[in-house]
Amino acid sequence: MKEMPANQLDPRVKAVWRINDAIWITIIGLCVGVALTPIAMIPDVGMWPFAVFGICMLVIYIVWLVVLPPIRYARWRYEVSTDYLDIAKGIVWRKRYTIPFIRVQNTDTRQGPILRAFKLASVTVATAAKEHEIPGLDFEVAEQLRDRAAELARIAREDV
Amino acid sequence: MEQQKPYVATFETGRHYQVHKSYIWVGPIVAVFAMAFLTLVNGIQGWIELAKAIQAGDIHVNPLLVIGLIVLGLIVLIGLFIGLYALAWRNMSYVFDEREFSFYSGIITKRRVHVPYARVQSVNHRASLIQRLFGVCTVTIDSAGGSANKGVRVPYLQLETAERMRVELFMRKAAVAAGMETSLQFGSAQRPSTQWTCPHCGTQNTARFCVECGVAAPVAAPQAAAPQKAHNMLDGAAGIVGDWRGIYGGEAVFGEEPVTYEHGLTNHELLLTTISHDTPIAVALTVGLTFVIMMAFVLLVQDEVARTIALFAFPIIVGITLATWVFGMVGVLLSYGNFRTRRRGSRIEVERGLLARESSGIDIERVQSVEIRQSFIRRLIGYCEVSLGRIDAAGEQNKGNNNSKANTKGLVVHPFVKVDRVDEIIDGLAPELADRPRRTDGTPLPKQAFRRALLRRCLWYNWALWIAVFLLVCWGILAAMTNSGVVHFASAASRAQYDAFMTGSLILVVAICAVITVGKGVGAVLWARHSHYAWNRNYLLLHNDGLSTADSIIPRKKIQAGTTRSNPFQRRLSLVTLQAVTAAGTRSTVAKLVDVPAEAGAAYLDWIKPRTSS
Repeated sequence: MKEMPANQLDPRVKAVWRINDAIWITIIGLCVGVALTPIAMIPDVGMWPFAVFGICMLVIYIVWLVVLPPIRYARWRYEVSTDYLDIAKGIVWRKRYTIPFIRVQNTDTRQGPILRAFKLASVTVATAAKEHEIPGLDFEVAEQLRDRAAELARIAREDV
Repeated sequence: MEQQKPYVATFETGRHYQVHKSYIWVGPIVAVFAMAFLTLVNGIQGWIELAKAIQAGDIHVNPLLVIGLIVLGLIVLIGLFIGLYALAWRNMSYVFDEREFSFYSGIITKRRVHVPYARVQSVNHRASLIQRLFGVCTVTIDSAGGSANKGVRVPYLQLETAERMRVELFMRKAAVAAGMETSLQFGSAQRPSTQWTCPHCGTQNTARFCVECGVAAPVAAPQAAAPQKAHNMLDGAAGIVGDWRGIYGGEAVFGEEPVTYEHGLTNHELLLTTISHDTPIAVALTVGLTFVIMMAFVLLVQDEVARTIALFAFPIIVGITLATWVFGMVGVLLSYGNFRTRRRGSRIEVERGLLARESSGIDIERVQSVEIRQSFIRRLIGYCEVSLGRIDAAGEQNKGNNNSKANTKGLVVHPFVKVDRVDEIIDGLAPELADRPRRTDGTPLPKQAFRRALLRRCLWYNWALWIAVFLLVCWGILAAMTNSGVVHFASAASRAQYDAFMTGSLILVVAICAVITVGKGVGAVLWARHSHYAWNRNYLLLHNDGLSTADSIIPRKKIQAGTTRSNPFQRRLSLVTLQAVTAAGTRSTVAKLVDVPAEAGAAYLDWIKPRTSS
C-alpha cells in the first residue's frame, strides 16, 4: 500500500466525536428504552430484559466513547498537495480518496455548536458529484486550508 | 474581421413572448378529467354504496337531475380551471435578452428563471399524446452546473417555436462566445438550400447560418436526406404518426448544423428491443412469482376448497402475468418507436416515441460516461444497450416529470445493438472517443477474486439464503414446539395435514433458495472470469461481467474523485475496490469494480492526480 497522507486532524476532534456520539447514543438508547417498557407489564418476567439492555448500552458507550475515537483519529489522514486532495480514513473499511482540485467547485468551512465550543471547524470540498468533509481542524488551520483549496481550485490547470 | 455580418435572430431581443394559447384549454381539460377519473376510482366504494342505496329505495333521486348536476359541476370546474390557466397564461412569458434567456411565471408570486446563454447545455422537448395532437410540446433547457442545476421548463410551445427556440439558444450561445451578442439582427426563419456558399466568406454551409461568420442562408429547397438511416415498421407510419406535427405544429425548422451521423432502429431491432427489454419481463415475473408462491402455499394446505381455488387461479395467474408483460412491451414499443439518434455539430440528439414524443440532446463535452449494458436475455443473444451518462437536472420544475427511466439510464443512444457493432455506433456518434480503451485492452482480475466472488455472492450478499435461513429457524422452533407437545392438535388427521404443510413449505423454500444460489454462483464465476479494468491516457474502462454485464467507459476529465476502499479480507489478499465518482444522474454515479490488486488501486489513484508539466 502507498504511504499515508501526512496531516492528521486536531486531537480535540476526539472530544467532539465523543460528545456527538454520546448525544446520539443517548437519544437512540432512550427511544429503545421507551419501546421496551411494555415488557415490564408482562408478569413474571422481572427486570432482566432491562439489565441486558443496560449492559448493551454500557458496551456501546465504551466502544464508541473510549475504544473508537483514538483509532478513528489515528486512521483519519489528509494531505493537500499542489493539485489534489488526498484523504485516507476508515477503520474496518479503509477508504482512500484522491480529489483533483480542477474538479473542485467550492470549498467552505462549517462549524456546529460542538465544534465551535472547541474552537474547531470542518472544511468541505465539493465537486460536481460529491462533498468531502475534513472534520475537526483548528479554526485557523481550517480557514487557511479552505483558502488554499479555493485558490488551488481556481488556478488548477491540466495538460491533457 | 471588422466587416463581420451579424447573427440573425428569429426572436426579437428583449421582447416578451407568450406560450401557445392551447395552454389555456388543453391543460384544464386534461387536469379535470384526471381529477374526475381519480375521484371515480378512489371513491368506488362510495359509489357502490350509493348505487345500492338508490336501488334499495333508501334514497329517492331523479337520475336526470344527477346527470345534469354532474355535467354542470364538470363545466363549472373546467370553467374555473380555464380561468385559472388563462390568468397563469397571461402571466407567463419568455424573453431572449442580450445575454440570457428568462422565463416569467406566477399569478400572485412572480417567478423569473433565467439561464445565461453561455450556460445552456441542452434544449430538449417532449410532448405527451394530447400535446402531440395539437402540435405543442414542453421545452426543457438544461444549464451547466453541478448536481444542483435546475432546468427551465417552458410549457406549451408550438413545435415550430420549440425548434426555433433551440436553434436560437445555441446560436445566441455561439454569438455570446464570439462576443457578438450586440450585433444580433432580427430576421425571419428561412429554409437553407442543401448546400450553399456563404457570399461573405466563401465557406460551404448546410446550416441556416454560416458557421464561419453567421450570415443567414439564402431561401431555398429542403435539406438533403441525412446519411445512414435504418427504418422500422413504425417509421412506415411516419407520414401519419411520426411526422405528425399536430394542429398548431407549424413548419419544420431546419437544424443549424449538418448531421454527420444518424441511425434508427430496423424492424427486427425494434421488435427484439421490445421482447428483450428487461423492465416488462421483470415486472411480469415479479407479479407472476408472487401469485405462484401464494398459490403454492394455498396448495400445501391439503384441503379440497384450497385445491379448487388453486386450480382455477393458475390460468388466471398466467393470464395476468402475460397481460402485464404484453402491456409493458407495448409501452416499450411505443417509447422506442420511430427512434432516431444523430450527431449534429457538437451535439448528440435522440428522438423517440410513437405517441408521446421526446427529443433530447447532449453536448459531446457533457457526456459523463458511455455505458454498455447487457441484461440476462440480451447477453444470451449477444446484444446490448448503449447509453450516455449525463447530468440530470433535479430542479423543482421537473418534479412532475416521472420519467425515472431516463434518470437512471442516461441518454439511451441505441436500445438494442449487436455487441460487435457497438464500436461502430460510438465512433459514428462520438468520434472524439476514438482513443478509448477497448475490451481487449482489459486486465483481468486476480485469481483470489474468484473465491471471494463466490463467497460474496452465494453467501454474504445472498438475500435468498438469509431469508431461507430465517425461515428454517422459524420452522425449527415450530417443530420443536409441536414435538414437545406445547401445541395440541385436535386430531391425528389435522396433525398429518400440518406436517405435510410444513414439509412442503420447507422443500419449496429450500428449492427456491437453491435455484437463486446456483444463479448467483454462475454469475460469480462469469464475473470473476470476464470482468476487467483498463485505463489509458484519457479514459477508464470498468467491465463488470456476470449474468448481466455492464461496461462503463469514463473520460478521465469527468471523474470527480477517485476512490479505493478495502475491508480486512481484501487487505489480507492485498486487494481493493476501485471506484470512480462522476456527476452523472441527478446526484452522482459511482462506477466500481471489486477486488483489483492493491498496486493497481494505487496506480489508479496516481492516474487520477492531475498531470501538470510544471
